[in-house]
Amino acid sequence: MENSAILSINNISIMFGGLKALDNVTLETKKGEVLCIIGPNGAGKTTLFNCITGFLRPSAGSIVYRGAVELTGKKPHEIAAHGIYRSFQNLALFANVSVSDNVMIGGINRKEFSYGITDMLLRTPRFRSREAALRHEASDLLGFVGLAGKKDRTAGELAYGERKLLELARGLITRPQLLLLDEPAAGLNPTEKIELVRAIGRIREQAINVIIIEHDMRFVSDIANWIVVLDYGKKLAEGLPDDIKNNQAVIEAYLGTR
Amino acid sequence: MTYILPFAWTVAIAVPIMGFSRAVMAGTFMLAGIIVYTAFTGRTRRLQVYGLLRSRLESSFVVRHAWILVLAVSVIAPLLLNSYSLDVFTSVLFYAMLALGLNLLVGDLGLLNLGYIAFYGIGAYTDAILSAKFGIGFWPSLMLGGAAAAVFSLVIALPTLRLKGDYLAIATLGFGEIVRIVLNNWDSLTNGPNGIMNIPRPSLPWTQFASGISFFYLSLCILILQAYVLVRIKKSRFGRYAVAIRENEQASAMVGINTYAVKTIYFMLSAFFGGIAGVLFASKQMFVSPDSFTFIESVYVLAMVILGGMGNIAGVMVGAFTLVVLPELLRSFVIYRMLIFALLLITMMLFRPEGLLGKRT
Repeated sequence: MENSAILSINNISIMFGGLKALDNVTLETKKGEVLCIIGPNGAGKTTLFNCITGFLRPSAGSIVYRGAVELTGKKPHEIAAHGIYRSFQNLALFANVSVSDNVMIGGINRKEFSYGITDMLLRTPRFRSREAALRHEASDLLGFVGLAGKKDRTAGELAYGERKLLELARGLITRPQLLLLDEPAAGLNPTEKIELVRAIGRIREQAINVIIIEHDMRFVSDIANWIVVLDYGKKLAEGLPDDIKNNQAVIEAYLGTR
Repeated sequence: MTYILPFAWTVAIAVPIMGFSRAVMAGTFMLAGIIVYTAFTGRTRRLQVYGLLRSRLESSFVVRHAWILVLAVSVIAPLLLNSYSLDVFTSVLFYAMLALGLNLLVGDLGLLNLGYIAFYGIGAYTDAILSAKFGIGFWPSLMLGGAAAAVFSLVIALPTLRLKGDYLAIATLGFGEIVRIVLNNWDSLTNGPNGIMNIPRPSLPWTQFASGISFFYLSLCILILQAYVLVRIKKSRFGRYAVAIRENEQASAMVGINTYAVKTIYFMLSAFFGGIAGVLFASKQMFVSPDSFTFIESVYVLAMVILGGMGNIAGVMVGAFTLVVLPELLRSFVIYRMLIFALLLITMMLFRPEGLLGKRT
């Protein structure tokens, strides 16, 4: 039981001024699972992601990765090196950089694409072959998400849905073991949502764990194995998608009491 | 509008100082400049045929290999110039080094440094003190000058790199002033406002770089070396990380870039190049004084980076060339020289804010 937990969040709390953004939240995700975190606006979902990825430091509690690595207190780039990739709610691309470079930047922690300063200055065979391999893999991944034709555009020129796909491609080149997606379906049209569900399905087949923040209940029930509901920084409920849909407390949090 | 506006604007600004007929003349110059320029950028429909021509040109063999031509000209031209022009072109080289160094921060990382000239000063004084007072040769002090600037850059970089935008700009501005004031007042080391004289010229076992022309070639070699290093960085993963930080610092950290380390290294590298340029400057002038490292010089170098096109290595060098040579060409206008120069700069910012060779985004 303990071994199969990819990420265990134990009793974390964080305060913003007088507001308890997260209040003693405990949750766990197991290997191969797609965990969805839902909750009304301001429930603390994105704050939770910020704590996991090192942008915020919780005032209490611990976040343990793979049963061994303590993530609290680590810097974002150190956490990324453990194979955790996170997408942002309002997209975080490198707008004035080409689409293929956006993906290539994500290759930073892949040993097979790495080279030193001497290689760079002298354009050694190692530099050339590794740059070429990186470019090749980036272009493969862009093909995988369906952006192959746009790799020389800048990211800022892409349409909204395409940018989400680009962010996903940039995530995949990091070879993540845990993917945190912050409202990936927001702003997508129904066809794009179906595409996204399919893409997440394929990602799961590669044994990558996924944690998703989402509002769209239909989307959530299509992909989630387990749902955690947050409300006012507290864990309100957790369970299988069908149980959550019929949970009285959850319905009240979303719709108010009658 | 593209034509009337700058014309009217130039005339309006120039009239009170130059009188009507001369103001109209200045306006006409401005207009001519803009027509020639739009011919190449093809912003207006009438001239789009040139625009088409230009996009053909950009991808053509000739333009991609233009640097060979530029290199050839800069190797041959000094042989034909008088010593005054040679001096001007040597300072083009120094400013190109500075602008390229500053571009690492402003262009690639998007960090505004308003005290960059301090590193030039530190390099120059390192050479002055080491070679004039302690008799250490030029070549060791070339490296030591760069290294000293890099070390001093840590003094400002480590505490301030968490700052962004305006706050960093103000902190660096303060640093620039502090360095100048220290140079001005530390009499025992820097000889205060009188400066340090008798700085020896560099030499090699078989030659002395005593003449202006040999010094020009020495500086050219160092500039070429610097430009080569910068091009290699830009085309490598390290260059991509810097640009990623400029575009989105959070996202960069999230994909695994150690943003603090990258920024510190860039800051040091930028200072190193500034220091090297300073050593060359000191040994060219054979004299340094704090007057050469004022705030306005930092602004001047920044203007070169912006004029040429931020982040574009060739553009930044064109910017340095333009801003050094243009005031010299305008000398025939005597007292209006700086006015016209300023007008050109402002017009440039209004009509092509991305710089001469910058990418339009």
